[in-house]
Amino acid sequence: MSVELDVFVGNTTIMDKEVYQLWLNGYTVNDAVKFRIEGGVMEECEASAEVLLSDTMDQYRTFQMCERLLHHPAKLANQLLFQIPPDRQAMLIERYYAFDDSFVREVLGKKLSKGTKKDLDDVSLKTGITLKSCRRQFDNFKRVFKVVEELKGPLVENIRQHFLLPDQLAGDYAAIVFFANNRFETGKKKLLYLTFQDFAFCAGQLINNWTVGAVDNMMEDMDVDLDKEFLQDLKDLKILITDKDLLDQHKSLVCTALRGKTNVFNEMEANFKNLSRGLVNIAAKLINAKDVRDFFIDIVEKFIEPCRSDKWTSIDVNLYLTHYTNSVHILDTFKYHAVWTRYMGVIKSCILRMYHD
Amino acid sequence: MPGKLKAKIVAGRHLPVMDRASDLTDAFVEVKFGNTTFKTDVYPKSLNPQWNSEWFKFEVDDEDLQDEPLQITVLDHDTYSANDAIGKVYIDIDPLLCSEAATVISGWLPIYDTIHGIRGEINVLVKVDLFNDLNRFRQSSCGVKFFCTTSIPRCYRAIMVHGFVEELVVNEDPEYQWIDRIRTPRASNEARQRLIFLMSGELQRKIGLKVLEMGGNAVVGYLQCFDLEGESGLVVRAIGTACTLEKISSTLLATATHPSNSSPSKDMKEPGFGEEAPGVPLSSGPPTPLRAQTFSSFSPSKSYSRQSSSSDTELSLTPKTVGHLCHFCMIPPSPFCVFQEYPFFTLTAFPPGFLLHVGGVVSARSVKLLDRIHNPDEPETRDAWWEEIRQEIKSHAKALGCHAVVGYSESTSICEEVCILSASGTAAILSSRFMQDGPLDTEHRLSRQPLCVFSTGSERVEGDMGSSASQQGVFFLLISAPFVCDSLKCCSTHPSIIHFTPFSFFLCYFLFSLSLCCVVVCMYLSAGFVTACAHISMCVCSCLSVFVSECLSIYVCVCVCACVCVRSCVCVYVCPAPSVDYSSFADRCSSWIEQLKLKAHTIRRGSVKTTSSMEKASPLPEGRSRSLRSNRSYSGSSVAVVKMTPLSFIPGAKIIKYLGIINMFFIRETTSLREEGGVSGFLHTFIAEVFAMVRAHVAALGGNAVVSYSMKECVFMENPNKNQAQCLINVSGDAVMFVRESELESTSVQTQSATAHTSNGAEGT
Repeated sequence: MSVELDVFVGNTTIMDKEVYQLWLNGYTVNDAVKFRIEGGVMEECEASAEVLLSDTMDQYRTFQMCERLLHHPAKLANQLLFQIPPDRQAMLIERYYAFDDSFVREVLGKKLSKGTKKDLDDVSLKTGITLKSCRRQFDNFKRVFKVVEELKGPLVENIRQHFLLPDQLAGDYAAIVFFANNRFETGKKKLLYLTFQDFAFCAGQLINNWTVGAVDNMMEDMDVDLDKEFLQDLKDLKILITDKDLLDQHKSLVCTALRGKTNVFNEMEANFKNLSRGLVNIAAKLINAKDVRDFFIDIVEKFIEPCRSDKWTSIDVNLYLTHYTNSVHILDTFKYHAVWTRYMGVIKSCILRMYHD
Repeated sequence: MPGKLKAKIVAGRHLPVMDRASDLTDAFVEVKFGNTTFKTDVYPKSLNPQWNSEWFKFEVDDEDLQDEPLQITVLDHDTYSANDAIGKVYIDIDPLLCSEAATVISGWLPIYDTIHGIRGEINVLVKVDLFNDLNRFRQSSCGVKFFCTTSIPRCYRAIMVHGFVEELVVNEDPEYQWIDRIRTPRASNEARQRLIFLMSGELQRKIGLKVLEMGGNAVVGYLQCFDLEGESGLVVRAIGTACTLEKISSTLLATATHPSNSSPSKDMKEPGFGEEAPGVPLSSGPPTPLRAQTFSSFSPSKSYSRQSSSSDTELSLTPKTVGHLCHFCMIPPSPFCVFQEYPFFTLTAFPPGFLLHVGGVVSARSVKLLDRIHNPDEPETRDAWWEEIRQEIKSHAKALGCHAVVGYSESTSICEEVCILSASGTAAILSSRFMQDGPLDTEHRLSRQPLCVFSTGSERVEGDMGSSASQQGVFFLLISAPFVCDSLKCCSTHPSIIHFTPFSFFLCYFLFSLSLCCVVVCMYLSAGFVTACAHISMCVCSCLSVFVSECLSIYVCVCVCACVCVRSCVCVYVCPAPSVDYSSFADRCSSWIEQLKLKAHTIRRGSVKTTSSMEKASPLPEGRSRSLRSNRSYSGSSVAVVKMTPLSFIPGAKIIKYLGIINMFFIRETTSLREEGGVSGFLHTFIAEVFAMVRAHVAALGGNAVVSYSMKECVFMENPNKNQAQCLINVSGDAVMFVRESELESTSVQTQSATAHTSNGAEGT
């Protein structure tokens, strides 16, 4: 057996962005070489395929050695083994923690456990992303989750500081962690039309408004869990549907406000009680962990689908929700204004975001 | 008690987990110097311990200060069983002993373990208080400066160049002692590493003493080599050029960098690189036919008989008429005039006009059988071997009508019991202007005559050396190219030596012609950057040597080691590549590297005895190709960055301070070769670690670059069946502090380079 010995080490660590991406995507060295040849590197450099191969191998080795450090990005800055310019360090981290939307969509809301990890080959088959890349992304989620789980203070900020990620990416990770922690169901057929960014937006809304950290910055609690007290209080909203007078009053207020302003007025009027019941029931049930998981399904089933079948435009939805929310404050027997505002604010923006094809 | 060494252990970070149960470490530190050991407290349950120890003080002789390294061992405290070692840091105190170099060593240094590699870092502070010792018979040579750079360092000027110094130290190799059978690989590696540190310290001290005796204060072109002779011992030897240097004040330096080449008094100030280039008319077409001028001979008969005739008859035969003392500055010569035994200079760069004529390459080699060194204190045989070789070189130079040898270097390659010693240099006639008064007349006359054809034995060697500057350039290159023939493996049975010797000679000759071709190509490519090219040609040489050996299809098995050497040479060359303002040069450089890489790669394929015809047919690397890495220029200007370059200068920057020599030796062993990614993975990690340690030490000295960096003596052994591998690397260089040239200058250079780059790009496409 011939011994392959071929290394090329630089004082300033040699890294090529393109090769790095290929490595991250989980391609083998040979595949990476093929891609590079197709990419036209050869014409540019007149190098032979063998040089290209050994160059690729060198870089793959470097990345493998770096990977350990990338698991703790803060270490990358003060480690001595590799001399990497700061801008390149940032690039390495950002790309390492980047993920594919199609992949994250598959695991969003699932428990980040070994069991899920075992199913990754199915995910890989389904999405066309290599298993290696899937594993990396999954491990990233898990790693961030583990670190942040224990920490106090704002979630996004914690992620940004510990993993030195840019704001956008830190926000996305916060969403992933939040979903994994609360185990929101996202894989049902009815939810498949939603993109990761839709969910990330909703997660942002929930984190900013419904967690303990959202009300009181001084509270030394985590951002990951929903505010139990608030969930408890949500039960009180039931009065809106159980009290017949209140319901009728509410309906007439909304209908007066909307009359003539929308093309779907008749459908709205006919459906009002159903819709209102749907939304209030969602609120009332949120105290149960199981129902929290079904939060998004419920929204789709109870609100979005009926509206869609009646051909509401998103302008109609916006109009309706605005008046639906505001008219409650005019009801004289209703006392839970703060809870209502806090609840409907999030529901409204989530629904608006989710209301598309 | 003329010295007090003080060390303080501040903190550690990124330590490995030593206690599986808690995922933490209870670390403490042992600080050892000589036979004295201090310990810090145990800092429990932390991977980032803060010891903040008191100052540990060692009162020692300055002799010990030079010999011994400071040894810092980080351990994990264990209540029930023995404490586990995490790793060690060796700190060479030498840079602190010279007032002009560094004053303190302070910073994060990697903790190194020979089995596990780098395991965290430790922050230390080391200082030395030195009392002057005016004892005439002292054994120490504190204060003598050492430079790896083979030219007069940039911020100094030579008042006097005294000449050649050499020394060798011998010891038993711990790897081959009986105790090695019972101790762990880690213990034996550490014993070896420590011994080599000690030996190189001792060697430097002894060389320093010789320099002091000669009246000098520095060694330039210091070249240290390790001969791992296996069972017969371990030899550390060094050569250099003794000089008296004087620090140039900043104003003087400024004038020195802009010399007017009209008056001879001025152009001698700095044998700088920058000045050399304009003097060399490189752009004026190809230099006239270049032939290989070799003048080599062998002494197989001597070596074959085991008694290694160390007769000093030649010594007396050779008239010591050579006055080779020279001074570069127009400072009146010192009153004394020494006729040294060997008129050799390890320098490769000289002031313009210094070399009157270049006589050609002289080389000598001999093949020896190793025998046990009986008395390590009197390494007579080894001394005698080198004596022989040097005499031969000297007589060759004489035969070429030259009285001095410049760019002198020595090397060995050892394979089992056979040892090939070789020395080479360029015979030259030095300008009398630079000589101190001596019997120069005869030399001078000789040099004016057209040099005649010499012949030795069957080999005819022509010697007509023009004094044209361009040709001189070529020879400079050759000067820098070290002798190849490394790592040729031959059978160890005695009769094979006879076969081997003529072969190695042939190879050598062949190589000379080849390397010359390469050099010429090189020279064209890189118009003016002589030194750098020389280094490249060096790589080409060693590359070719492997190639040639295959072409000749002589039964020579090239061991992997050769490739290691090639690779490590190459590694070094990445550093000039990112330089901003020589981008066109860097371009070439890296394209050469790319070629080399390819070369090394294909060669390795064939090296496993299956020399296919394909390999034979593979062409010499004459075509140039644009490199994959050419466009990747990191203009990293971050503070923590330490640059490394095999050049003696940093392009676009000015060296303001030399902080001392870096001379380190590392051993790395693994018993999980496959897990670490095979030999490539293992070596990749190791080289990266070596780089990291060099950088850390330079940074701790307060420097931001290493110049004249070289990676030598790579021994690589592997046993894939046992899943094991071992590698030894020696690195050396000068730690320096540099500052970027002023805004104005750098911008102008950048625009130049930009145009160069674009034109280059157009060429490539």
